[in-house]
Amino acid sequence: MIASALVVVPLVAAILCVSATRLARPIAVVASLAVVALALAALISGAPTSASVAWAGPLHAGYSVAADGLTVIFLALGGVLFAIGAAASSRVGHRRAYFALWCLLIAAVDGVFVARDLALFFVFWEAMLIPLAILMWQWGGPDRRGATLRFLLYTMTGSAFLLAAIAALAASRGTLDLAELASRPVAASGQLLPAMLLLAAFVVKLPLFPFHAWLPRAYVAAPIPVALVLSGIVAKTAVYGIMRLCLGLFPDGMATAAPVLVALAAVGTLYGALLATRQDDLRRFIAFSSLSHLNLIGLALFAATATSLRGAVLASVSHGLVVAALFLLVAMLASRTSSFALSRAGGLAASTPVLAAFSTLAIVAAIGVPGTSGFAGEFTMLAGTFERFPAAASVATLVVILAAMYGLGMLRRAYHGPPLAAGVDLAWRERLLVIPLLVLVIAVGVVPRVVSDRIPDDTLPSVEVTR
Amino acid sequence: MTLALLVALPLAGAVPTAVAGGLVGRRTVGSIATLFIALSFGAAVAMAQAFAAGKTQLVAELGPWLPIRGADLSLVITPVTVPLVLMVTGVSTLIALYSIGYLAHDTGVRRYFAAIDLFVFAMLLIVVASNLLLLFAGWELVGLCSYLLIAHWRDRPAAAAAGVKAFVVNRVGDAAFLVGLFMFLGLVNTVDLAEITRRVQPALQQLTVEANAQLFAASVLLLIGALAKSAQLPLHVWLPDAMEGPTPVSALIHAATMVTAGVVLLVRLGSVLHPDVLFGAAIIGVITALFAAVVALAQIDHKRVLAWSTISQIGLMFVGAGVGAAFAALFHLIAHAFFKAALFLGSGSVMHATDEELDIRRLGGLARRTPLTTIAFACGAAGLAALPPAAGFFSKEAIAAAVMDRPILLVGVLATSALSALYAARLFALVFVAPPSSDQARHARESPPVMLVPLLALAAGALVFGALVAGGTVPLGVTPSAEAPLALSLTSAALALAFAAAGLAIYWRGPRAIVPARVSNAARAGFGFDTLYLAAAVIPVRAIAQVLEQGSEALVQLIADLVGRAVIAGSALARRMQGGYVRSYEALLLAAAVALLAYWSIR
Amino acid sequence: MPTEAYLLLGALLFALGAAGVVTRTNALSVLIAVELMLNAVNLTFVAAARRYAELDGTVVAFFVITVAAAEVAVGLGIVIDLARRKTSVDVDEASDLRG
Repeated sequence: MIASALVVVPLVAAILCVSATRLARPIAVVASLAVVALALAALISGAPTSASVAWAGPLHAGYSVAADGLTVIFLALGGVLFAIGAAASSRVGHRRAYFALWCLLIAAVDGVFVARDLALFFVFWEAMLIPLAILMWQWGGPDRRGATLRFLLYTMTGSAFLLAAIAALAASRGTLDLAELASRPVAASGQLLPAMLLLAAFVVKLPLFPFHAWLPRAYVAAPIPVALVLSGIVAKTAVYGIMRLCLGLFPDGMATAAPVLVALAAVGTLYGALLATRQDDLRRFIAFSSLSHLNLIGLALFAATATSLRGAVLASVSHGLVVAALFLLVAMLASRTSSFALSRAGGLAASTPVLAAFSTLAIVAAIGVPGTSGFAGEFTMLAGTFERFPAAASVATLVVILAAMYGLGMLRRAYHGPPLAAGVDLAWRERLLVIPLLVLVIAVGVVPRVVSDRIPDDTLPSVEVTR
Repeated sequence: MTLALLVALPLAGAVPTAVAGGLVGRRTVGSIATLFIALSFGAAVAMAQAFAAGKTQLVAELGPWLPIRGADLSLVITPVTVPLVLMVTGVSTLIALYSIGYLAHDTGVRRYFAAIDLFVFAMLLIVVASNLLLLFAGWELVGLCSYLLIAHWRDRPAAAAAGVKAFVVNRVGDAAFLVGLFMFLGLVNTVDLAEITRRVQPALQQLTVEANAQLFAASVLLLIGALAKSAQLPLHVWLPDAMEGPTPVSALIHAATMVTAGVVLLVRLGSVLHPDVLFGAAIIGVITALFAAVVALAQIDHKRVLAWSTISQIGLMFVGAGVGAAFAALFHLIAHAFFKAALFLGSGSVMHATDEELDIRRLGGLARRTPLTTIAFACGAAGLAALPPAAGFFSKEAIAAAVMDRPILLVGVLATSALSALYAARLFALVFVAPPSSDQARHARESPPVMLVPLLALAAGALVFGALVAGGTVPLGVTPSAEAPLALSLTSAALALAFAAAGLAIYWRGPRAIVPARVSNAARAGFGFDTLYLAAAVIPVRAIAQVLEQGSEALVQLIADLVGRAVIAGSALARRMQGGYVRSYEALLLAAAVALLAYWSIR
Repeated sequence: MPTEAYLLLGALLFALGAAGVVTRTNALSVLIAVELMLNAVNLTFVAAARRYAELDGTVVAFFVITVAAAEVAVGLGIVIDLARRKTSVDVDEASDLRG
């Protein structure tokens, strides 16, 4: 019941947005917060959330939804980010269309997380693209058309493989219901191919190195709130997909491919960090630091130990919160220097101390200092990965050095030194957007078990690695 | 409860200072922040009394933290760590008090005191964490506070660069520490220190080849972490630059507390780390001690003299910790905290008196203008020079006694002591005694009481602390492993006196060049380590990043473009079939139908 | 008469219709040609029904007649619209959808 409501509420909100110009933004914010409330209600009440209706029989597809702990974690994160993203979309044209699409995006993302049927999952997976692409295409920056096209082409190519995998499963297993698929696992020897087909869609969306060509362009071209949710929650649908589908249905196939995938992810982690040290455009800076973080999450997912998966979920939450704060702060900085270029900033701390303090805290979380969510995720992931792939984990650990270089290097260039740029400090309206994120970052960093203990056992590998 | 309070109070001070510090005046912010540290010191004293009454351990379990075995928010304090806690909170209180005066006209007071409070919290965490992970949390947080405070004067590019450098070099050690931590996790499946100790010690006795190798590797990695944090060779390069921060910060973080965290780690993990690695720490310590003492002799910036001297003195502590003499290491650690904090605060008082003058060749004659600072500085310098009966004499003697049976180490330790006496005397003579050589020096004025009181308190500590410990009045929680023979005491006293006298004599009348300029310039630059790292690490990393951006990243983008272009070209071909003429579509349809029929009928 | 004769006639009519669809440019002629093809198929169906003495072919033929009627209605509508837009009913004129 609640699981269905998680999709229906934003859909209703989308209709309301179309009919009310002035109220469109508050409606979108309320719909996002309603998602958070519903998700938490599903968790606290403990009432059964699932619903299952036969849908397209001959296709072996059904309407089957549920909200377990893993779903709730991602939905709550998504709700927070959508609410803040909507609140930050203060000066957009065509408000009704913008916020209606925004609510459609919420519904689609929610759908991906609650779907318990592969066909339904695919429908929502593709449905995410439509509002996202239109939001980028219509409201984006100068390169928006090219960036949107590339994003679409990349993700749809990945989706083609996903569809092939789903069709093959429907033909061979006679069902697409996740629970039924899980109860009748594919023989270990036949798991590699479907696992890789499913994974194709997810590595593009994550993105895993070297499938990231769309990432920097999309981050630069998309409007800031859209980039915020694109990185903060849409990328996490890939994390969720890998955990729930690839690892959940084909653990042996994933284990076979793990050495290659782990190597790619470890390289990508360092690669993103190295490139982040060289960026002048702050959005590209976020893009490459995100690439680094997301590949580290990928590393933990592919290592697939109970600890590394817990870490991956923690890091997903952390990255969502931190990247949202970074995007907002970068936009606030840009509104003061009228440019996203670091070279146009410099010594801003003198005139905007609060902006500098918030940015410092966000960067500190991004580079994984203890006490912030970044550390909780990063450490748990690396410790878990080390159990199975010590060499890869050790190499990936070098990222803490590179992260310090790019993170503090960015702060130094933007805020320290003689004041080359100046601006008015953050208004309360701006502060209120960022403060909830920073508070959550600290909260998750201090009590990460609140998140990691919610991960249901059946999504973690049942057998611990023997030491 | 007291233990939890001890750690929580500075944190509780940091939050309101950072959040609401703007609502009250500068002085009030400083006072509130200082008060919280002082309260924490009170908790430490209360605990020390409990231990004096016979307690052997206090534990505080505050709940779970990370989903890893043993990674809880739990604290433990033992008789060994009680003196450290007292020292950290006590010295921090005095230095925070001093900062109120020192930063009376600074606009960034709020973030300064927030960072100081956070720092005290983090440092206490290192000392009392009951598992390696929480210890690492403190370990990283002190690094963060160090960065924030070094870069406190944000408009100075040099300060910002020094802050980043300190953090990045520390992170090199942290990365090693992390991997070492993972290896311990793999070895014993917990990060709880007590359990690691319990389970590693039998392993040490059995010494299975594989476990031995793993333990060795893990120990080396943790040692690298300690080297970075404690600015030992070859990861010492960040500490001299860290002097860009406000002087009280140098006193607290870069002399008394944070940089000694490596020693604390070695002492706390002494029974866990591989013995060969521990001995390696002693070797590195003695090399660093000698090296840094030589460099200190050539410095012309009085804060940098003290910075290099800190590196050198911590080297001595590493010697003590490395040979398993926890008493000697801790004794020198605390004695060093007193005299080095007094010296740095004295240095700050000199800067305060002379418009931030740092060049010792442009100072001189301050003894007459700033008598109280002079007295305090003299006490600190006596401690550094190990003149009896100052604190350094007894603590260095303890270290020398611990390495009696290892002649090379002994010679190194004694030589370092002699050199320390020399540069301490040189510094004192040039700043306070030699004829004044600039207007700032001639018109120096004494600092306000809020600065002088902590300064004198620390100076008193530097003077008497050693005798109190050596006399047995103040217990250190561990007992000395070796008693210093009389001959050793006499030798070290004679060496210190002789070299201090020589230093005073040479520099009594002002700066003088005793060695060729090329040698002293090389020494002043720290013998080129910065250049080495620039060439061997910084530039390659930048080059790799550049190659990646212009090479592989361009390639990734190019491939994406090419694929797109290929699709467009392919579609141009397909487009030609869509002429828009209904009849051609129909013909195609017909032809396809005929072809299909033909195929079926042939098959 | 043998069934082959009906089939031959049907095939002949179908080929004529197909040729007409491809060669004629007048939209009305194309429609007539399509009609010819449909009825050729009808003839084949009915012949088959007679040959096997079953009603299935006849039923399908009725379906085709119905569909053909609908098709003519829609087709003529399109032709009228085409005539309005292009002032001619030449199908080659209506090639705006070229790729």
